[in-house]
Amino acid sequence: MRVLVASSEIVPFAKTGGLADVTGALPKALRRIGVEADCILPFYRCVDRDRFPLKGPGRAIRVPLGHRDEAGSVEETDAGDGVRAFLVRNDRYFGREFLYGTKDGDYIDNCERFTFFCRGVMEWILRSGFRYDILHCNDWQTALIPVYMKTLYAGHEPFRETGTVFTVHNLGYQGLFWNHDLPLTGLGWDLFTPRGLEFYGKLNLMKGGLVFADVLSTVSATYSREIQTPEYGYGLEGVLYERRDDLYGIVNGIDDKEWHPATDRRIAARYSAEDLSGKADCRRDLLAEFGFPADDVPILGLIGRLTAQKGFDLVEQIGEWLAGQRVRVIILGAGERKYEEAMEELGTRYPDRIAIRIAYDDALAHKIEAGVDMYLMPSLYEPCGLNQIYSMKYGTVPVVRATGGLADTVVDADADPEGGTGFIFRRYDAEDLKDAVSRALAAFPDRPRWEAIVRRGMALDFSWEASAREYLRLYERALRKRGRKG
Amino acid sequence: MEEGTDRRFSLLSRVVELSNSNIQVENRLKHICDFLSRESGADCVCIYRREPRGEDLTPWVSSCLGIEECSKLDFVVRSGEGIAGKAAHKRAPVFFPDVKADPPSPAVPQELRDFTSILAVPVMDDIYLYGVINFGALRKTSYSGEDMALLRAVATEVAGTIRNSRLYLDARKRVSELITLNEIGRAITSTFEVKDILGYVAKTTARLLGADGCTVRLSEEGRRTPEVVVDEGYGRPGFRREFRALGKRLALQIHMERRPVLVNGPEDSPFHEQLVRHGVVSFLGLPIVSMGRSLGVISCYSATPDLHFDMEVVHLMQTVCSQLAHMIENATMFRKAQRLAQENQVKVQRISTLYDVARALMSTVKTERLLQTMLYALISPGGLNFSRAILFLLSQDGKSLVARMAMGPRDRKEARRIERLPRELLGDEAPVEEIPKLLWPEIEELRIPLSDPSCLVARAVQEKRPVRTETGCGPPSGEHAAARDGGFCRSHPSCFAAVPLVIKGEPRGVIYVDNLFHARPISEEDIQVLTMFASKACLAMENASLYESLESALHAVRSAQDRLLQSEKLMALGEMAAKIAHEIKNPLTVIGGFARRIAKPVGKPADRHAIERYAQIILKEVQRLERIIRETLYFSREVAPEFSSVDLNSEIHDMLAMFREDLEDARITSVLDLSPEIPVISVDPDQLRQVLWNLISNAIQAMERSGILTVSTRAADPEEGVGVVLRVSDTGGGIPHDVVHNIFNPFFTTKPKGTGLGLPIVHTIVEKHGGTIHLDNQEGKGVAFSVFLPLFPREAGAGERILEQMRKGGANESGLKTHPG
Repeated sequence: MRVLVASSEIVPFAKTGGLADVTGALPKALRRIGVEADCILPFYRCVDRDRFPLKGPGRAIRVPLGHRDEAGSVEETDAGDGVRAFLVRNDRYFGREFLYGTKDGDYIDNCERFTFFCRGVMEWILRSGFRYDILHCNDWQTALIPVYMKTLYAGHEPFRETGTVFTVHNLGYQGLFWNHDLPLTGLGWDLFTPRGLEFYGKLNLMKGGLVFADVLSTVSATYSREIQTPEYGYGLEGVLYERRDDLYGIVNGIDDKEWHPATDRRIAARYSAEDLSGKADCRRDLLAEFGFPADDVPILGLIGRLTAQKGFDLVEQIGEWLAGQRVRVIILGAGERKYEEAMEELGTRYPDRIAIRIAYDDALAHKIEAGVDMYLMPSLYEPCGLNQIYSMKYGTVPVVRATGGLADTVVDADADPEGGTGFIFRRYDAEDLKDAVSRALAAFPDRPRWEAIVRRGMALDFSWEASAREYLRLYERALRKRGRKG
Repeated sequence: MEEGTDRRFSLLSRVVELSNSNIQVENRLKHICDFLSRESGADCVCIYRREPRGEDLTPWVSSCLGIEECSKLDFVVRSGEGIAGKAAHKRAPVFFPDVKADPPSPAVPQELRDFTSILAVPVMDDIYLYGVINFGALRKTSYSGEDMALLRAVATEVAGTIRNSRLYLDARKRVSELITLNEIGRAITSTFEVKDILGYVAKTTARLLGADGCTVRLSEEGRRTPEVVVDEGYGRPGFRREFRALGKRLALQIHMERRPVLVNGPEDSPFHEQLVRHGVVSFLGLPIVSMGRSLGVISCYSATPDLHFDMEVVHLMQTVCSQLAHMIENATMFRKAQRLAQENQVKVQRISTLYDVARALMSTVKTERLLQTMLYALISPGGLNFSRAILFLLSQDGKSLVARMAMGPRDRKEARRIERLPRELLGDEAPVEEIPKLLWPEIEELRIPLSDPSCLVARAVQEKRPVRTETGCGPPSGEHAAARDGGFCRSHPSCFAAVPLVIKGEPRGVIYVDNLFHARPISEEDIQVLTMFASKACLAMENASLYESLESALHAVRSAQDRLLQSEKLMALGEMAAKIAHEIKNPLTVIGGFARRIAKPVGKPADRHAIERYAQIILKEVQRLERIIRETLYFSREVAPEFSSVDLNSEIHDMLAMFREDLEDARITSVLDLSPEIPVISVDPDQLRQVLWNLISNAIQAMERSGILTVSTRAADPEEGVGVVLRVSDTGGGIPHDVVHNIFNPFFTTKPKGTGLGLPIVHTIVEKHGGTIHLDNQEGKGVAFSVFLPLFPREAGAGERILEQMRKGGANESGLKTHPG
C-alpha cells in the first residue's frame, strides 16, 4: 500500500505544534510496518536546505487559483528512515518567515496559500506519475484535498482508486474565511451550502475535509465522541455526528527515541520497570533543581501551556487546598498572562510546597517527567494528550480528567485495582479534582500497590508502530469504501 | 507623554510596521491600539469606524487597560455629537482635557465612561474620513504639539491601512464576482433548461451576495403575474412561505415598472416596514428585461443585520439579469423551433405511414389477403400502431354487425414482440409470416345488433362518423342490457375508437381499434389518420370485390363456352351419324333392290346376263360402301404412316394419268410445273397418294365445265423449313366465304356426291407428316392448296395452329402464306 501524508507542518522540516510531531513520526512508523509512506508539505523558508538537500530538479506545476494560474514546483528530499518528503514550492506563498502568520496575526492570504498547496498536491500527482492508494490529510490546511478528490478531480485516472483519510488534530482551527475566497478554490457555489463548505456565511475548509473524506479520524476515541456534541464540536458537531460511522479515534504514539527512561540522556539516571532505582536518582536531582529537601513527600508535576484548556482554572481553585496537603507541586510552562500570574502568586505564597517555572524547557520537562511521583492533567478537553503517556512511560502516575485521549489512555487504579494505571475524575469541578488527588496521595504510601500501578503504566505500548497499525486499518477501511479490497 | 524624538520615531516606525504587515486588518488595528495604549499614556485607545451610509461612528477596535473594551460596547456616535463626532464633523482633532468639568455638548455617555481627558483624532486621508481614534485617559492628561502631530501621523497611517485593506478586499471581491459572473455565463450557455439555469443562478448569486434567499419569478406568455420558478434560500422555517405574498407584490411592481427596487430603509419603499416585520433588512429585486419586455423578476433578500445590498450589487445583478434575459429568449426560441420540428416530423411520419399502408392495401386484390393486410397495417409498429383491431361488416339483412376478422396480441408479452417486428408492411422485410399468427379465428362468432343505441361501435356505423371514447360505451339500457351482458361492449377497454367503412355513401362495416397494451391514449390525430385509412381501406375493398365479380363473370363465360363446344361436338356427331346413315342408305338400297331381284325375279326369271349385271351393280355399291367405311375409319382410329423415300414428281405424274379421262371429260387443261430439283422426301407413299388424289379430285370437281388445273412443286424456302412444297390450284370459282372455315371439317361438303371427308383426311395426313397446308382462296376465281412436306417427318402440331387460325375466319386475313398461281 502506498500512502501520502499531507500536512502543513512535518518534523523535521517545519513545526509549530504537535501536528508536526505526528505527521513526522507516522510515515516512518508506517514504513517500519511495511507501508510505503511518503509525506508532502509546503516548502517554507525554515526548511533547512543544508540538512535536507533536494534531489534533482523539481517538477513544475501550474495551479489554477480563481481566474489565474499560479506557477510552482514540487521538490523531493529525504525525511529519513526511507520516507520521501515532497515540498510544494512557491516562494511568494511559503518563502516567509513564519508558517501561518506573524506573532501579530494570521497572514491575510492563508486561504490562497493553502488552496495553492492542496491543489498543488493534486496537480503534482496528476502530472508526476506517482500513484497513491491513500491520501492522508491533516487539519484544515490540507482539508481541500478530499474535496478536490470528490469534485474537480473525481474520475481522473491517478485518483480513481485513491482513498482519503482526514485527521482532525485541532478542531479549534477550522480555516474560516470569507465567502469571496470560494472562487479561489475553483469549487462551484453549489458546494457553498450548510451541507458543504459553508459555515454561517463563511467558507470553512475543515468542514470540506469532514464532509468529503472517505474516512475521518481524530487523536482519541473519546475525543471522537466528544466532538459530536456542542460542548466540544466548535459548531461542527452536526457534520461530525452525521459522519459518526466513518469517524475513528487513534491515539498518537510517542517518540521512543526522545522519551524512554532507559535511554534518556537528559535525566540524571536511566531506569526501567525491572529496576526503578534510577528513578529515585532522578527524583533527588529534580528536588535539588527546585531547592526542595530530598524527602519522601510525594511530588506532583504539571507541564504545559498555561491555558484554560489545560485546566488551569481548576489548578488555580485548588491551589490553596494543595498547599495544605502533604505534597510538593512543580509546574513548568507558559501561556496566558492571567494563569502565569496566578501560578506565580501561588509559588510566592507557598515556596516550600509549590514551585513554578514560567518557560518552555524541553530538558527540564524530561527531568520533571522522570523525577515526580504523580502528574496532574485536569484538562478541560484533551484531544490526545502526550504528557500522561510520557508520565506512565517514566513510572509517574497520572491524575487526569476523563476527557479525550486522557480517558482512553489512563485507567483508574481504584475502579480497576488489577489494571489501574492512574487516577481519574470526571466532572470539570474542583471538588472532583481534589478527590482524585486525595486518592493518589492516599495510595502513595502503599509502596507495593504504588509500584504495581507504576509498572503497569510502564509496560503499556505507546509506540508509533502500534498507532501506525491502527492507521493501516483505517486506510484499509477507506479503500473498502472506495470499492477496493484493502 | 514623555518627550523624546527617538521615542516618537520608534513609536511611529512600529505603527508603520504593523499597518503594513500582511495580516487581517482587524489584527493590525488591534495591535496598533495595544501599542498606542502602552506608549501614549492613554488608558484606552479606541478606533471608531464610520458607517458606510452617513457619518455615524461605531466603536470598532480598542485596547483598554483595566476597564472593559470599548469595542465590546454597542453604541453609535452621530456626527457632531460627543467628542469623536465633533472631530469627525470638524475633520480635525478635538481635545477635552476635563470632560467631568467641561463635558461636550451633546455628550455620548458610553464614550465618556470614567475618562477625564479625551483626545479624538480623525482617521482620514486627503479625501475621505474613515473614522476617529479616541485616546481616553482616566487621569487628566495633556498633549504637546509634537505629540499631537505624532498622533495625527499615526491616524493618517491608520487611514492608509483601512483604505488599503478596503481596496484589497474590494479587489478580491471583484475578482470573486467576475469569476462567478463568468461561471454563470458559462452555465447559461451550457443548456436550454431554463429551470436548471435559474436554480443555479439563484443559488450562486445568493451565495455570492451573502443573501439569505433568492427567488426567480417568470411571467408565462399571456400572464400578467410572474410566478415563482425558483426559490432558493434558508432561514427560519416557514419564513419563505410567509414572505411569499409580500414578495409577490414587490415582484409585480418590479415587473410592471421594469425598474430595479432596492429597499434598505423606509425612504426606499412603502413596503419597508412589512419587510422588517418579516425580518428582511435588505431587499433587492430586478426585472429580467428583454427588448423592453419584462420576462420575470429576480429578487434577493438579506435577513442578516449587517448585510445591506448596495448599488454595486444592483449593477452586478443587472449584468446577471441581462444574461438571463438572453438565455430565456434563446431557450424560448429553441423550444419553439423544437416544437415545430417535432410537429413536422410527426406529420411527415404520418403521411409516410399512410403511404405505406395504401401501398400495402393495393398490393393485393384477394379479399382475404387484403383484410389481413388491412388489420396488420392497423396494429403494426410501422403502420398505425394500435394494439388491436377488429373489422365488422354489415350483415346481409343490415341489422347487425358481424365480426369478419380480428387481429392483435393476446397478452403483453406478445404485444412487446410485435413492437419489435420489422416496421415494413411490404417487401422482403415485411413480417408476412407473422400476420396469420395474430388472427383471432374465434372472433367470427361475434355479432353486434346495429340497433343498440349505447354501443358506440354500432353508432359509428349508423351515424357514419368516427367515434373515440375514453369512457367506454354508454350505460346499458333496457332490452339491450341483457344482450350485451358479457358481450362486446363489456369486453373491450373503455378507451377505443371506431371508424365506419362507407362505400358509395352506404355503410358497409366498421373498424374497431384500441390501445389495450400501449400506454398512450388514442388522440384526435389518431382518428384523423384512422379516417384516412378507412377511406383507403374502402377503396381497396371495393377494388377487391370488383375484381372478384369480374373473375366470376369470366368463369361463367368460360364454362358456357365449354358447354357450347360440347353441344357443337354432339351436333357434329349427330350430323355425322346422319350423314353416314345417308351415305350408306343409298348404296344399301341399291344393293338390297338388286339382291331382291336376283332372289325373287319379278315377272320372268332373271337371265344369267341380268344377274351378272345386277351383281356388277351390287359389287360397285359395295365398293362404294367399303370406301365410305374406310374413309370413316380413317378418322376413328390412328393410322400410323409407314415412311419410305418417295419422288414426289413421279407420284404426281402417275396420279394425273389416272385422272386423264376425267380431265378430258370435263375439258380441263392440266398444267404441271414440277421442279426437278426437289429432293426425295420421306413419306408414307399410300398416304401421299391419298393426298394427291383428294386434292386433284377436289379441283376437278370444282371445275365442272372447263378450267385449268395447275400442279407444281418446288423446294421449300428456308423460312418454311427443309422440305418441298406441293401446290394444286384450280379455276373453279373458289369457296364461298361463309363456308370456307368448314372445309377441313369432316363430312362437310358442297358436292352432291362428296363424302366430306377428303380435305379432313388430307389435313390429318399432312399433319402426321409434320407438314403444313395453306389455302389460298380467291372467291370467284379459284382456290389453291399449298402443302409443305418436310424432308424428314417431324412431330405433329404445327398444323394445329393453322387449323385454329382457319377456324377463326378468312384465310386471307389470317396471314396464311399464299402462293398465287
